[in-house]
Amino acid sequence: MDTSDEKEDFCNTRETLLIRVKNQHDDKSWEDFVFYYKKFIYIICRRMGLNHHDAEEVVQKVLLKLWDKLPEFEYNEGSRFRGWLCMVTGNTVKDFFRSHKRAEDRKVKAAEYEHWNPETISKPEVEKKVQKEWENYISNLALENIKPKFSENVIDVFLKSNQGIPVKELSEQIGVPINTIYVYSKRVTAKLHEEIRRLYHELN
Amino acid sequence: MSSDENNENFFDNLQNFNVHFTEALGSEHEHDLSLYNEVLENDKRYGEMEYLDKGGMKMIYSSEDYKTARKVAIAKLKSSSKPQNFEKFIKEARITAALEHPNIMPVYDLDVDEKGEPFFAMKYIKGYNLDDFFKKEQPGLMNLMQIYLKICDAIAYAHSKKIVHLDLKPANIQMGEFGEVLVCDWGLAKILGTKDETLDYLDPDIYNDGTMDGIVKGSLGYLAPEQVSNDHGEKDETTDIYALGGILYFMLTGKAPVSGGDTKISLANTIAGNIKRPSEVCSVPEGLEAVCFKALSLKQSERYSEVKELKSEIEKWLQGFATSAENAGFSKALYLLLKRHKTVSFLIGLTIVITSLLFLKIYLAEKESLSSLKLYVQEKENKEQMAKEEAPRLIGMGELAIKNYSFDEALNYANLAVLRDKENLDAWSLKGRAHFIRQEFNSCLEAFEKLGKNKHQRFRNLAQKYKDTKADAELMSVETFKEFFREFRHMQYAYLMSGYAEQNAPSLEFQLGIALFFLQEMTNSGVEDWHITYKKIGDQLEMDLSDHPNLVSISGIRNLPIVKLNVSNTQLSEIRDLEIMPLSKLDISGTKILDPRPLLRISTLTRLVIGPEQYQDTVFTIPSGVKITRKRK
Repeated sequence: MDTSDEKEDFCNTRETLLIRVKNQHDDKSWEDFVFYYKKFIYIICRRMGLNHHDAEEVVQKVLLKLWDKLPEFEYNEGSRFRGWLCMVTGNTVKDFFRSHKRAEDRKVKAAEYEHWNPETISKPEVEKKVQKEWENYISNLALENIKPKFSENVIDVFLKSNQGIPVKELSEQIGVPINTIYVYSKRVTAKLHEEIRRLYHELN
Repeated sequence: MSSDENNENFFDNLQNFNVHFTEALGSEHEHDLSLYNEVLENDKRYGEMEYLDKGGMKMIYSSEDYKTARKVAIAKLKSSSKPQNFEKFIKEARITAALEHPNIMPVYDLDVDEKGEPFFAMKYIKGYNLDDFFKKEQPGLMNLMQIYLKICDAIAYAHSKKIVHLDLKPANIQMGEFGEVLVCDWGLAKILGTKDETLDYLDPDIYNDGTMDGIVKGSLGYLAPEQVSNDHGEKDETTDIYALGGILYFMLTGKAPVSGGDTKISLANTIAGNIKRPSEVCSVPEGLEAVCFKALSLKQSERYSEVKELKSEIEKWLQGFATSAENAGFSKALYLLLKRHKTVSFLIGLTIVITSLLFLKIYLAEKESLSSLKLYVQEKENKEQMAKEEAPRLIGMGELAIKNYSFDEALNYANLAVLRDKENLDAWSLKGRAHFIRQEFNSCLEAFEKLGKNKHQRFRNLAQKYKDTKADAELMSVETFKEFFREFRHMQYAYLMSGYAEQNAPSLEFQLGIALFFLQEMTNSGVEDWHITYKKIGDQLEMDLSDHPNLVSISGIRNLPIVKLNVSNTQLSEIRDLEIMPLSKLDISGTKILDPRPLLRISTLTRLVIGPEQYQDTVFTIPSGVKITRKRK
């Protein structure tokens, strides 16, 4: 999906994706919703301890549930919605664990699920956690979107300096002058933040 | 969308980007330390140097200042510079930095680079210098005068800090895209002796060595006479005023006031004040021309005494101009009034307006012509006054020319002076004496006629006696000349007249005849046992004056083309005459010369011979190609 089209689309409707998908429940909105939220649900599943294949399976189940329940959800703000989304996902994961009692490793991983279990953890805490995950997800999505605008080298420098390697060390390590590192980082950061803001406003 | 692998990949590569999210949404900006880190960690302050320009001593580059993240101009010494120049260079940077004024190039930083060479950073300005600006933009006079006022402001400020620029010229005025006018290149600047509290650290004792007296510094064309030679006075604020006059001249004509094929001619023109009137070059307002010429006066005392005065003259002119411009605006307003009335009550309105417009037009025209007449009369008076004032200046120049043995020039000045002011007796006296020296006795008598009786009687008597021995344009023969001087016995004129005769001598023999006559006549005792030998080689001479124990002066032969000279065992102590000879070998052993070191500066010299015990304590700096030989006992 072309993000610039997306942007225009967004500007025209002046409504966020969530409102569109809830009120209109049309194919286009749903498609957009799936595009943005599928990955996020997948991430939550992985965080809850599922492996790649199980996560893919659960994501499909969650999306089916959402298709049914979304029109009924009383939307007020994005973080609420994502709290609710997380609860739905959590329940689906719990069901998944129950129906697959066979393997030991799943039990082990179920322990990770406990960090998300809405029955044992307070709702605001889960919401906070999921919000953080969401913000990180948007930011990573933003990175994906801007990547084509830069050379691989520039993105690489940016990611490395972002990982907290001291600039001087990095400069010696990759043979790029300190000043150039700053210039690269600055440019990518500016674009990244711009994209994050765009996604945030569109999806919230 | 092949979401399966996509998702897994995406998850595996998830970055911890929460910081970016909060930064992007701007909620926690105060925790952003990236700028701080950048300033902290970047220890290389300046980026790549890109060539911009070069001057006599400096190269100018553009570069990026990483700390302040802006473009700057960097000045460095040329790579061939010796470490001795470091001090001068740093002095320039500090003087410039001390001058904080909106029209003076600001200095941001002064440091030593990794190669150990000093540099300083200045404002980077996109644009060009006044010279190029004038050529490329062809700005109007009003625009130029606004720029001129800014230059005046800068120099007035510098003078208030007791700093004189001494190298003002269009190329040293930087112009920006947005009306910036910056005086730069303070490399020759001098701190005048007075102490100034705010410039305590700029101690004149430390810095003034940078510009060595006696050597011509500055740029030809804008150089004041006192910069050419110390005889014309000390360099001070009025030296800058001369150059400001030169810049005004440039703004009026597009040319430097003084020009000439080569350095020598330019220097001579500077001293002589050979400056074409701007109105001869193109049409210029007389008021500005007058200001320009006052600033360009040869005598420092005749220039404006301070920049403020010069500036206020320009402002006066500008105000006069602006008033007439305002009048034009008013009649335009009336025209607009007429247009408005056309649509309301056409006939009545039109009549009233036309009538009043006519009256007003007459009134305005009258007022305008009156004011311009006033200006005209004032300028006319100024001009006549100036012509008269110019005569004494020309006489001064003429006297100077005589002292410098420039007799054509002297006569020129004398003729100009009598032309400017026929009643000036000094002018006629100068003219008479110039002719006398040139042996033009008929013209000499005519000039002295204007002085009335009793003046220069000795001169007149001789001129009368010798005027018929030859035509004015001819020279007396060597024999007549000797006779003439045995009668005249005037030391100063003996020098001058022999100088002229030698300069115009038809042959080397003639020249020699006169020179040797004077050499002998001027040796006081007159009881010398003369045994001078010389040899002619082409048009050059080798001469042996040794062992003349009464010989004190060789002024008589100063104009001869002597390449080898032996003055050993004489009373000679004065080296001035030696310095102007084209000597390659010189023997001064057994003379009374105290300090022979200036002789080493004679460019043609290859060998200097000194006595066995002479100059034991003198430390010589021997130029390459010169040998000093000490005679054996």
